[in-house]
Amino acid sequence: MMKKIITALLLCVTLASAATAATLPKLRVGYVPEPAHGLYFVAKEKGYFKDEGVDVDLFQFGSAAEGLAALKAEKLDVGTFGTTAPLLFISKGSEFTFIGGMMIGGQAIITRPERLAELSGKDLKVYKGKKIGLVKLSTGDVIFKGALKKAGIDYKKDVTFVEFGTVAAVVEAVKKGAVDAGLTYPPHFSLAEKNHGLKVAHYIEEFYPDYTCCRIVAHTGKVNADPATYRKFLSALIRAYKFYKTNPDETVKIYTRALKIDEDIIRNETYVKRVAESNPDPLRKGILDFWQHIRDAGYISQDYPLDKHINTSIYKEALDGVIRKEPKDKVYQQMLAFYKKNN
Amino acid sequence: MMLIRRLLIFLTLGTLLCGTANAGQRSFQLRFGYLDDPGSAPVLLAAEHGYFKRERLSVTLVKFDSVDKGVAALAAGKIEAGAFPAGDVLRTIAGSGDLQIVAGGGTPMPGELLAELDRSAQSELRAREMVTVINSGKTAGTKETATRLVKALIRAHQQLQQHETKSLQSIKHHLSHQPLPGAYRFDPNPDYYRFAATWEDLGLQKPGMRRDHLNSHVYEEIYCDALDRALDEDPQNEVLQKLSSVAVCIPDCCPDAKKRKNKTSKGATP
Repeated sequence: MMKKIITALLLCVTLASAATAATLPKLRVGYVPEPAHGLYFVAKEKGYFKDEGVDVDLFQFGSAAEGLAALKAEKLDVGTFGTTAPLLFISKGSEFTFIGGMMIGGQAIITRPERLAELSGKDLKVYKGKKIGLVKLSTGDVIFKGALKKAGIDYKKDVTFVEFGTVAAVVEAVKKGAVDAGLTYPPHFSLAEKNHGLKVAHYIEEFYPDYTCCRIVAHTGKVNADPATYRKFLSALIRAYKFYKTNPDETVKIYTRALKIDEDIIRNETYVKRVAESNPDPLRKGILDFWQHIRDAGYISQDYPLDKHINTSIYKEALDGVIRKEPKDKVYQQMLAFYKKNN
Repeated sequence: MMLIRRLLIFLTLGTLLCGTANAGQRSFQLRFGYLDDPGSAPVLLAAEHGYFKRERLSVTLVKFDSVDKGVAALAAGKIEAGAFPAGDVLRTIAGSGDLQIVAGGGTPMPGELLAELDRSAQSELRAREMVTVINSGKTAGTKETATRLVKALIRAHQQLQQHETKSLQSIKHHLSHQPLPGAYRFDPNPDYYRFAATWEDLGLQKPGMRRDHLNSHVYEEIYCDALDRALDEDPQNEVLQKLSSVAVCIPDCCPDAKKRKNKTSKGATP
C-alpha cells in the first residue's frame, strides 16, 4: 500500500514539474562547441533558466554559418555564433539584434619553440616583417589587425598574412615552418601545445584588453515582441557567470561533460591561464570597434549603421533585477561597473 | 531458414550502404541556358573544356535569343540553370521570382575613360554582368549540384585568367561576335555587396519588402564551399588564392570544422 502511495506521489511531482515546464516560455538556443560558451551549460545544469522562468533547449552546431542559417530560418530563437558571422548577416539584411555576449578574449598567437624568444617580446613590433597564418575574418584575424593598428603598425605594409581555411591548417603551417606564427582560438592553441609542442607567444588580449568575441544574437522581431523572455534568459546567464567565477571545480566538470573536451585543457584555459572570459555583457563598444576593424582591413567597403542592431537595455534590466535580489554581491557589482564602461 | 534470413538482411544492408556511399559520386544532369554574349565565356569554357564533366555534371547548353525567354524558361523549370544579365535577374527576384544567384560572370569593361568616371555608366555595365542563376525549386540535388556547378565555373575562370586569348578563341563558335581579350572583366564571386549596389541603382527595394529579400537570393556560401574545394585540390594556384583573398566567407569557428563542413545539421539541431 505504502509503495503505491509513494509511486502516486512521485507521479504527481513529475506531472507537476512537467506542467510547469510546459507553461514556461520556450527558447531554442544555438551554440558552437567552445569552452568559453559554457555559461549555457551552467545555467541549464544548475536550473537557472527554469528558476528565472524560461524553458531552454540547447542545440549544438558545427559552424557559425549553419547556426545563423537556422536562426534566420527561425528554427532557433537565439544563439552564439562568433562575431564576424552575425555582423555579415546583419549587414546583408538579416533582422538580428545583439542582446548579450558569451566570450571575451580567447585568441592566441602560436609559434615554434625555437622562435618563442624572438616573438614573445612585450611589443607588437616583433611581428613586423613576419609571416602570420590565420583564418580569414576569424576573431583573431580581425582583432590582431585592430591591435596592430592601435599600436601604430601599418599591417598592410609591414606584416604578411597567409590565409587558411581552418585553424587546424594554421597550426599545421606553423608546425611546418611555412609561417612564422599563427592566430588560433580555444581549444586549438592548447591542443597545439599538447600535441605538437608549439608555444603560445602571446594572447591577443595582452595588446587589446576586453575585446569582443562571440556575441549572443536573436531575432529583432522576437526580441521586440517578447523582451521579458529574453530578459529572463539573460538573468539566468548572469547568475551562471557568478557560478563560473566562484565555483571553478564544478564549472570545469560541467563544461567537460557538455563539450567532451579534455578536462585539463578546460581547466587550464578557463582558470589557470584565463585565456578567455565567459561574460554575458553585450559589449556594445566592442561590437562597433570590431565592425570598424573589419572595414579597416578592407574586407567590406560598405558601411552599415550597426548600432541599431545592438540592444543593451534588456541585459541592463536583467542585471538590475539580479542585483535587486542580492545588492551586496561583489560579482554582480563588478558586472555593473563593467557594463557601464563598455556599453 | 535462419541462414537465408541473415543473408537477406546482409544483402539489404549492403545495398543501402553502397547507395549512401555513392550519393557523393552521383552524376547530375542540367540544362544550362545562355545568351549570345561574351560575358557567358566561363560557362562556355566549362562546357568546352570538360570542367562540368569533371564535376560529374552532364550539362546541355541551351542558347536563347532573348533574356526574357531564358529567364522564363528557368522560372518554368525548362532549364535548371542559366547565365543572364544581373539587372534582369535582379528585377525577376524583386518580382518574387524564385531564382538564386550562385556565381558572377563577365562584365563589359568601359570603352572610354569618361565611362569609368560616370556612376550611371558604371551601374549600367554592372547590370550587364552575366551572372549564373539556378532555380533551386527545380534543380535536383540543389546544394551539391550548385556547388559542383560553381566549382566548374571557378576552374573555367582559372583557365581564362591564365590563357585568356587562347581560351576565348576556343569558344568563338558559340558566339556571333569574337570576344576580345580585356573587353570583359570576369569574376565568379557572387558578391552580395556588388548586387546590392545594382539593386539600389535600379530602385528594386520596395516598401514592405524584407530587408534581406535580395540576400535570400544570393548564395555566397555555395561559392565559398566551391572555392574551398578547388583550393583543396590546388592550394598553390595563384588565381584561386587571389579569389580567396577577396571572398567574404564566414570563417570556420569550431574544432574539427573541416570534417563537419558538408553536413547541414547535427544530431541535436532542430
